Amino acid sequence: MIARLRQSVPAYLFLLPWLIGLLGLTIGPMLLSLYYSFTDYALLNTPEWTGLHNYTTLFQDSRYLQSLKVTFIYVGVSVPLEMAFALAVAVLLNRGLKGLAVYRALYYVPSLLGGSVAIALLWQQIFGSDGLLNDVLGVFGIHGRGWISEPGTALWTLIVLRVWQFGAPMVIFLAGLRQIPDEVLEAAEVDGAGRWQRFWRVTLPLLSPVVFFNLVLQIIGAFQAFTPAFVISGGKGGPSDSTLFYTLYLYQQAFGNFRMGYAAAMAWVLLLIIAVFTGLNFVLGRTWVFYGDEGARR
Amino acid sequence: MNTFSRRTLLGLGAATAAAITLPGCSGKSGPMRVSWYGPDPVTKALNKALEAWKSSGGAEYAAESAPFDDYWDKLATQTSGNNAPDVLRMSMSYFSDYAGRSALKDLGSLGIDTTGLDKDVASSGVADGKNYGIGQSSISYAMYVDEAAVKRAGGTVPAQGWTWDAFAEFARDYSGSVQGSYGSTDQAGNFQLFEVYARQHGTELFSDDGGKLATSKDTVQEWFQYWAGLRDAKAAPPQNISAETTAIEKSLVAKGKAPLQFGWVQQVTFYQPLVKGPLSVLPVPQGKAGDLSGQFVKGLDLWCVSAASKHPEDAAKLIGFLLNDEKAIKAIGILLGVPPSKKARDLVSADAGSAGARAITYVEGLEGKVGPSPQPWPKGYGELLTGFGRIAENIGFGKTTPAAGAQEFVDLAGKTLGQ
Amino acid sequence: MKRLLAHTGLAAGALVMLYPLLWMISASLRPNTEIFEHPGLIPERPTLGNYALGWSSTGTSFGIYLMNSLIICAAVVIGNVLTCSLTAYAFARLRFVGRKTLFGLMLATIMLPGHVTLIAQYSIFRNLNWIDTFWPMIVPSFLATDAFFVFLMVQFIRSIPVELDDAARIDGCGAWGIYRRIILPLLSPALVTTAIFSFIWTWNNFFSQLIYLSTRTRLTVPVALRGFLDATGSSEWGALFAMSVVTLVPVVVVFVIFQRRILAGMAHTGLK
Repeated sequence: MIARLRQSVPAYLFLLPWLIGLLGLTIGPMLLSLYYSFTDYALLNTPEWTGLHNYTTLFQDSRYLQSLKVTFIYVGVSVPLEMAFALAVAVLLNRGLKGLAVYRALYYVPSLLGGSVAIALLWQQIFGSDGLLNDVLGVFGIHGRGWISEPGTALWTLIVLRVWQFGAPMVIFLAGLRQIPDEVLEAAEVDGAGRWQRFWRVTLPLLSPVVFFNLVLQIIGAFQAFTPAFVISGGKGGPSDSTLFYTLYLYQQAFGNFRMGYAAAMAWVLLLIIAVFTGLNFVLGRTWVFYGDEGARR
Repeated sequence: MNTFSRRTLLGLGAATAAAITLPGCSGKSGPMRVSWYGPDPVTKALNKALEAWKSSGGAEYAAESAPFDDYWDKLATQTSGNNAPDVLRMSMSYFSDYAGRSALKDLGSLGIDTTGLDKDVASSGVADGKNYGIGQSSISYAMYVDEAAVKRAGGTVPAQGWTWDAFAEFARDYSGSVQGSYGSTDQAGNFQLFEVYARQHGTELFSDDGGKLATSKDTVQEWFQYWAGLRDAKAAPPQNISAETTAIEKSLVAKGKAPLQFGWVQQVTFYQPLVKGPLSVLPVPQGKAGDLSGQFVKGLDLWCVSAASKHPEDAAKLIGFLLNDEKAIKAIGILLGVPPSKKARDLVSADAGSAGARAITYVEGLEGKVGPSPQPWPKGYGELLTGFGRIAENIGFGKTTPAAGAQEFVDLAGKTLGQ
Repeated sequence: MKRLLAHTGLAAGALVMLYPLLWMISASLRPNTEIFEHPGLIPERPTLGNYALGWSSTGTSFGIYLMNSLIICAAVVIGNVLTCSLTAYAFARLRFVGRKTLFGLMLATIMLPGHVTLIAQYSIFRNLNWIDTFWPMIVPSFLATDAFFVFLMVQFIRSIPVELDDAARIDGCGAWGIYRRIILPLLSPALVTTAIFSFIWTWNNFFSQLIYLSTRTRLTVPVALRGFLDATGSSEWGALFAMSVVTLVPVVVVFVIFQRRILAGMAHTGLK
């Protein structure tokens, strides 16, 4: 044990900044928020212990359940779509097309707008009752509705927003593709592998750690999505709570209703949900992710 | 061989340590901090007023401001982290949340001169016998009507506004005669306008101690049914159109699709630039013609001092200055609302014929005609405000009925108030 | 023929991606009252008034906000690139007691929504006297608190064959040597990606900047942009769009420059 601890010293030295950050800035507040989740804490005065009350109230709160539903739909639909676009476009752009750099920049631009307040307006202008989409549909004789202002469709405009901003995972895929040695692909070509075979049996496996990363983090990110709904619905999660993302409801309770304890309980439930999905990802990942540091190929 | 260059290691450690122990460039026990919410013109005006304060020998200050929505997140964080500003602008929506949790200082003993202020406004921040804030504007709810548009459609506008029944008829007639327009905006989710309606139907919105909803479920239901009726008759827009027209520049009145808009009196100055004809400022619909007792005049924005302030006397002096000093009053103008004292209103004398002047005339005209000012909105008001709007939205989209919605609201109030 | 198809496809896609941005530029050239009128892209009476108004409207030149954001973002880029790579190297390549637990803990730190840890962190920074300074935004990046980039780099490092490490070890390199000579250079695409995202996400990160910064001259771009909209008054749409366009410029520039560097040197990896 002592010997192993001694061997660990170089690693701990590399980890020193992270450890300081963890102990000084992160762990304390995290544990404190766990404590809050068992209290009634109105932000402006001191927390009062209430035990499991927050947690039991959660599952009887119809708006909470609604936020769960909205968030699960959002994650389930937007993450696969976004990843598919990101991978497809990254592969296309990695081919050495002329004007490559320009296209890459153009496809990334939407991600640059981030959670800008201007997005709310842009989305209104496109998906509102008198917006661009309805103008285009009108050309084909289709009468559009208020996509962004009706509860049945508002969430879909947010899904479109996330997929539109696929530039971030795309850039990561591109970086990963860049890391694949040309020699390996050339060798495969020499061996007679066709384009699709090369992609499927050489590129993808070598890219799998990056695919895994994107998948895990996009799921975590989508569960925690806040700014799109906050900006587009003006913080309300409307129309009729159809865009009430989990973290938006959390924020409403914490800062709008002075119920930080309740919000903390929500936060820890979310952490559990995300941890379960991430754990699942890691377990499943053992079957399809291929790392260069594992020596022989499977 | 050495597994590690000791020097690099030390360097790394030292750099990290230095990085986190270096303090920021400014100490924090600094001058008095003044904080407010509002758009840019408000910020500019208050900065000017503060300069007047400085040049007349007032204490040092540091100013901070943020737009309305962001301001509350920041204030809550600051107060919770024991870093609240000294002088702060407070909205009646959150006043009880702060006052009721001892975050505001009792101004009673600080000797701020409120003698010139309108009576209801000076006492706007009185709760539990203590004075936690002083109103900085006198406002009341109003309707702004584009009379020229009404005339073109062949209608007339009564001098004191309509009764609710007459208003419904007017809205239906208007939308019937003007293609593609609505006679009214949909106010079903407007909790603040509902307060006037509730008062017209017998009780205040809230019980005196703020612990219960005093209005009956039936009144709430009638209110939702009234607006549902207007929507069905196409006299008011469908729910999704209302959702898309909340911004002032996109509002129906600005686009000429409705001849009127509801709002707090001072907001007329924001709508006027977008409408060609002059907007008259009229009382909101009444129960009995000419009976304005449902409305009230109050200061809904207040100046407060935080309980933990280290500069209470300077803070009090500053508030007194902002309310009473000529230069400050002139700098602020009507940007915080209709000025809260006769003296200020005379000083400000907005250009005759302008929307601002009409707002002032309207408020002055209400004196003696409106009902008593209600108590400060209780703790949890914010949640009821958004909940009311949400339930109205659900009704508008057909997800629930006025009866069920009214019950839901009453239940929500029961859960939220009196905590 | 295939190339033509590919080009048209990509170009059409680019237009769809860009349309909202084009609309924003067009709106920035229109007076406030006309922005919501015509859905077309070409403004009828283009004017630069919004740019002038937005630049100076709050009494402080918008250039100051740009400068503040640039300072913070540059510092965060440096901090993240340095410390996240150190941390990732340890997790990916070194053996130590508690590795799996600490890795799980690191991932857990990004699973908790930030709104609930905000208050406690605010108190910590208050005790350090760092409120209304840039430190709360910068220091965490020097402490590798952004697990996203640590995990990103871990994945990239794990794609680097261990044989390279072994070769270096035979040549006499220790952990630090391997880090500096083998891993860091080969990690370059991930480092550049980290730099790009650190910059862009910090540039757009308004919530913590809103909470921690108060003095007008210390505000940053996203906070200032939100200042153009206010629920209690009329909003300055034109100025908002104009300044949004202006603030996109540094971000695009950073992106373009860094993207080139990803391409430039690192196409060839492999055993040397």
